[in-house]
Amino acid sequence: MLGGYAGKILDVDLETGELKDKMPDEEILRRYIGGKGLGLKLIYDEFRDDMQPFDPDNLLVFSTGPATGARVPTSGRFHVLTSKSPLTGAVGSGNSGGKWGPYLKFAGYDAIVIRGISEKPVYLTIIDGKAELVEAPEIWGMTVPAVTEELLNRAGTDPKKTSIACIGPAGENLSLISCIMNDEYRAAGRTGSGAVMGSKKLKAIVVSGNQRQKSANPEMLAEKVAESMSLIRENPVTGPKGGLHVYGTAVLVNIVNAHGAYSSRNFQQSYFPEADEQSGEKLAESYLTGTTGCWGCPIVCGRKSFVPDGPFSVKYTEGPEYETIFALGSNCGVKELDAVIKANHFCNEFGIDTISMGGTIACAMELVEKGKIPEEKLLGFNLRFGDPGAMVECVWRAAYKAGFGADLALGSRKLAEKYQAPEYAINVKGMELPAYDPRPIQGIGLEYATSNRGGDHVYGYTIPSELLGIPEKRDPYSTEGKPEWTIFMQDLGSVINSSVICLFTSFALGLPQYAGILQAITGMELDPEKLLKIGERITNLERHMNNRYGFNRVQDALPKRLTAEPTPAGPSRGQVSHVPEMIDKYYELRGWIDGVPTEEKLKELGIA
Amino acid sequence: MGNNGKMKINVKFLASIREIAGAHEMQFELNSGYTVKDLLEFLELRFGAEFKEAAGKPFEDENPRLRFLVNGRDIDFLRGPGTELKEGDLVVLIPPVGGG
Repeated sequence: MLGGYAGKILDVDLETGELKDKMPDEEILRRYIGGKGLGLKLIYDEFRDDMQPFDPDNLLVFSTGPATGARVPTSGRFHVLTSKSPLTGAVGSGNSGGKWGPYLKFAGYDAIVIRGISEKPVYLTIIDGKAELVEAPEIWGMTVPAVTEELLNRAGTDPKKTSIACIGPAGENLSLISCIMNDEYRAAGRTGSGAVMGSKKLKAIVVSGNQRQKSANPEMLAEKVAESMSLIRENPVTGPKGGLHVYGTAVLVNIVNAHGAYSSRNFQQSYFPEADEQSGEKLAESYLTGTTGCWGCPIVCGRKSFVPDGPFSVKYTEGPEYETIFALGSNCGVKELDAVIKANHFCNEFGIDTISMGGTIACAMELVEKGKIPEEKLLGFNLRFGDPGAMVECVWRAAYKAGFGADLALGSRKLAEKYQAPEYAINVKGMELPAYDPRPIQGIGLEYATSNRGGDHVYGYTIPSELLGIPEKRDPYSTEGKPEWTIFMQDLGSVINSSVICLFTSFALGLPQYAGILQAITGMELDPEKLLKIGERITNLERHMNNRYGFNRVQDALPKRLTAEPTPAGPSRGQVSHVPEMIDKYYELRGWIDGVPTEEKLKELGIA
Repeated sequence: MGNNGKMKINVKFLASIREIAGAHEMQFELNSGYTVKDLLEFLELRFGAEFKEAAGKPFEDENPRLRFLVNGRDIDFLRGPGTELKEGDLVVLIPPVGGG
């Protein structure tokens, strides 16, 4: 048996209430590692081309990897997958930190596969190897912090060693932009997996335990961990005095804006003149109360914050992250950081993805601006760019589908289609775009266009090289070498999300470190080349499933605004994305034709 | 070109370097023809040892502690430290940071 794994997968049938332990196939672990890769394979084994998002057999999978909980730096993460995302129609996928992943393993399981629909609301507990489904209609409707507190009390285990993943009202109400939250403030945010969990009437999963997994080579692991820890600590980004710890991810606000890549007003602009008012520096100066880190993390990039007074007052909360500040702030034309903190707090309470929420509000604001939404549809709601109160109001309206909120709960694509103006939905494959304007950053545009889960920045994070000079500088305006770089980062991302460790380690570590750590834990013979091949296999398996759902070249495209409307002002004025000029090269390098892996490629990777 | 062989340049300081400069953005009147390298020397004199320590040798160090953007472009994609500044330019100083 390979080291580092718990050796069990919990299979939950919510229709029958049956719980079964399954053994993970060792060959599958060797080929897909864990986390995202393992989850994709589990979904693929029961794949159906005509799957619909709220079908009972749309699987919901929580998956850890061999590094999860293994005392490896940043090993507090896990991955969530759904066979079909209600937001995108592709495979659904998200990744989260906190401590839930490690405690699922300490409870004795590598992964959970959830099928069926429960008749009544239930929650699942897994405590020291014992799994149980509990009928609990009384917790349905609770917010994320409320249900977390309630279930921690009911569990009766040491709260420090207990962790809860759950949905909020947004997931229960099948909002297509709802997410799965854990440890109150952490989110497997994207692709609407909260709605899949809600459709199954599964409110929460409680995990706790003391089962520690053995690594194959503890001495080698100690050596590899020491090496990685030194690299992380000595690195100016990830070290104790590094930018991530001191300012959090929000440090990027001013930097990205200085490059003219901080989109505003639904990507009508790529520069926000008031960015400094919502920057990481401003957050540190006016709203920060402390820092917080995920399980086993030496970086500690999380923010504890508050808003002391005023209409957006919050006594204590966490965040906001860079992406959230962009989405709910500049993308809505809102400069007030206190309003963003409040809206972020609501998103966490109700279980909503902040990026998709902000993108959807911005889309709605532009639809109103352009006269596409008739006044009577808004029922008196005054929705305008730059209005902090309106932006905050959108969040609870979307969570409860209150009034116009029912439209916001659809996400931007379906919202804009409803008002016959799809060009105002700034999305790829139905998922709202993140916080880097792709017009002056060519690689990230290619990542947005080709990412299997839609408008995504972290599954192929080209930004460190294109904007931050890590590990080396690549000219953001140039298309040269970008298909190669995007592919490398996507396959590396698949490895990281399958291990499962944090993407932020990649500021300090590379494939040799990841290969060494995974070899020491599992006992598999690994090197950078073999590991990257596994990453390629994982990316291709996800692509293959999307192809079977009908995705191809057509969906690998940016909204027209980003390829046809040059950035109108700011430092990057006059730039457009050149994705259409890069995509053929990308496909050629991938071994794909029109967005579809060839038979040979699938055979080479052992997929088909 | 400004008056009397002088030009006004705006400089933005981000993250930790802002704490040393004590301001987010400042305007300086410099001699026309100044390059980014000249600006760095000017700032080292202006802000002293703490700034110098924080900046390191950004044009020589293997892992520079400071990056320079001129009007939104990293100087490595312009003319490097020899990039000439002109009236009204915005220079942004960025320490090593990351995020997501």
